[in-house]
Amino acid sequence: MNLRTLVWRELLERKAQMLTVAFGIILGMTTLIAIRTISFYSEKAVARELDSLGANVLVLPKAVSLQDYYAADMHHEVIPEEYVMRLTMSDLQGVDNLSPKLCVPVTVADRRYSLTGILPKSEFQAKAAWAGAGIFSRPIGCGVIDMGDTPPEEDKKMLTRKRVIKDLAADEILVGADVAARQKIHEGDSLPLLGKTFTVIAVLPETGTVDDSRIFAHLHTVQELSKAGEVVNCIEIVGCCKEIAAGLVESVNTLLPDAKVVTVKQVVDTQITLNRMIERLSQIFLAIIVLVGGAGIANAMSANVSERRREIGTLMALGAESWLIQRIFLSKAALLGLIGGVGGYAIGTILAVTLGPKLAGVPVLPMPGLAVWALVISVGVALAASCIPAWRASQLDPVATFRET
Amino acid sequence: MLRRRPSPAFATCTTCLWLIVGPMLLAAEARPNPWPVGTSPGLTSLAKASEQNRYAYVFFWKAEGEATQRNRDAFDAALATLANRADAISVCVAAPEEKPTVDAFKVSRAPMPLVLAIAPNGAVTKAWPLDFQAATAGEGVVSDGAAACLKAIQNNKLVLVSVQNSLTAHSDEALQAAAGFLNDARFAAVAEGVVLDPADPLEARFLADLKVLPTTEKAITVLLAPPGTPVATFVGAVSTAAIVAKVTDAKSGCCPDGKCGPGQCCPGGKCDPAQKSTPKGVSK
Repeated sequence: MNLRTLVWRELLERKAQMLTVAFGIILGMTTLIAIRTISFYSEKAVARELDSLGANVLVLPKAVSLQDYYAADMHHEVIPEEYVMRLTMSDLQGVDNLSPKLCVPVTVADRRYSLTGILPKSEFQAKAAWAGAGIFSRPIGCGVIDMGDTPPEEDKKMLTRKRVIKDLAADEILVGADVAARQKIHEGDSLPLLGKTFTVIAVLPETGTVDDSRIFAHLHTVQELSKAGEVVNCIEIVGCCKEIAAGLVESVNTLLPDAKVVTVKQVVDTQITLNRMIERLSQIFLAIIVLVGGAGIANAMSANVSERRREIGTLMALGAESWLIQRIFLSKAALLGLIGGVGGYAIGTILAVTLGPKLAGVPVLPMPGLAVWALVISVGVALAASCIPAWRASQLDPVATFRET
Repeated sequence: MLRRRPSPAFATCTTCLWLIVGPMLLAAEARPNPWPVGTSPGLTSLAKASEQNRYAYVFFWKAEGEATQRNRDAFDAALATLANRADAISVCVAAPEEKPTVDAFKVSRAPMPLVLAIAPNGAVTKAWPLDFQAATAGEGVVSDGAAACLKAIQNNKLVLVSVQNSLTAHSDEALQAAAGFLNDARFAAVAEGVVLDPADPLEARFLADLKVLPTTEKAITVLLAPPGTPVATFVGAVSTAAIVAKVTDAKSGCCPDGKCGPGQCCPGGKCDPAQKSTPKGVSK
């Protein structure tokens, strides 16, 4: 009878107890893996969004909270569209671009998406120069100069990066990468939405954000089809960092006193705080797993050693050395840790990938690197918790165990 | 197109240069009326004002009310003082017959009431949304140079402003460089030129906005980009290549002159000033 057989028999001897221990480890690791995977992709999306947007300002209805930047324009509160013109015609310095949005839910093949109304630049661009000849004394702008010579196809595909496009006809739509992939939509296709047939003029490149699940149409068309009136959910301002630091937000607040004006940084900070809270929560979970799981394993192993004193004594009387006894119990613990780690990683990853997009609003993918991390923790905890019971078993006196009734 | 503002002081230039610039200047003389006649009462009034080389102040309103009445009173009072220079036009945006006027300015979703000052060339020289201030009504009347620049900017074009006269050094080189830029196939359709005399008192306010001294001893070339951003100022001699390089730089870079830092206001964050080329003769 070799070590593997001994360990295997030891495991199967008390199935219920072993299953309970394995289930405990799997549950702990599942929670840990799911939280870490979701928070990793959420943070990554925030960083990517910050990099692509830079310093930005959001104009929102007063009642909207700042829980999530990605869903900042997805609510039922509205502000008048005329705010766009007020901003455009104002003498505010540092407003590089504007992007008003109105989101309404639409269903395509039984799946719900956000039809997002956007205002092409051609609708308000010239008005930026209505502030009079004084505009020429303004400091240099912060963005690249736009001579309007970008090819229309390229211009439209840059919507998600530049936040605004030059032109968009009333019956044209731009489709997010995720929508296009799921619904097998291609450029040139027709798509009926809210009773109107649109032509897909571009499938947007994947961004890894909620924009992938949006369908973009002209704001005025969306307003008309949804009967929402001349309103928007949000106005995104691409502002110059220097002017934002110099009080652009306060100036916009003064201009639009009935709206809430925040920098994306503030919104992102809120989300980062939330992510940090989740991160701390996962650390607490880790500590609980180490303490409770470890104590549970140690307790089960101790009980196991106590119950099998006579068998251990017999093995030792037959010539088994202390090291062999320790290896039996430590191998058993390592096996339980291995099962817990693999199972926890698999279930945690499945949960993160399926629930992550709904909970955090970002696409979540499996993280193979976490498998090693999960195995190291679960096996490590199981081994550490079994060290003392295994050592106690190896120190038993065979004669003494035979005398026990 | 290079538009030359009338200036008695500016008289000399080489024959060769005028052969290049001349046709552009002639084109500037015959300014077409920017407004169609007969499509709506508002546009017809605008066309009439433009034809008579007068400004038009348009009062857009949606519905009668306290704000509309208060602004209308201020508008009427202000226009009485500008009667020798401007026509007053009232447009109700809700009136079907004024739809062409509303569409021409795309003001259907604008905050009302709205007052626009419109130059004879069709440029909107000032807007007063919601609250028209009679005291500032005069700001809507700008110099011909400023109106020409505003018109080009509102048409989403670059403007190359050549500030020079017979007393400024390097005037010919600057004008040649401007003509070369405006004839470049890449920029001909998206750029316009305006020539100003630094000593012209009518342009003094506009030149001050451009930070050009009326006593400048060297010709100055200012490159403006929509919505009115001064992209570069070239002092003295300048080459077409230097202007093209500056435009190319500002088009491709995310931060003209590297004033923004990575990860801040520039999409993509590629704002390393070291990557920016600074053509010879460019100063800012």
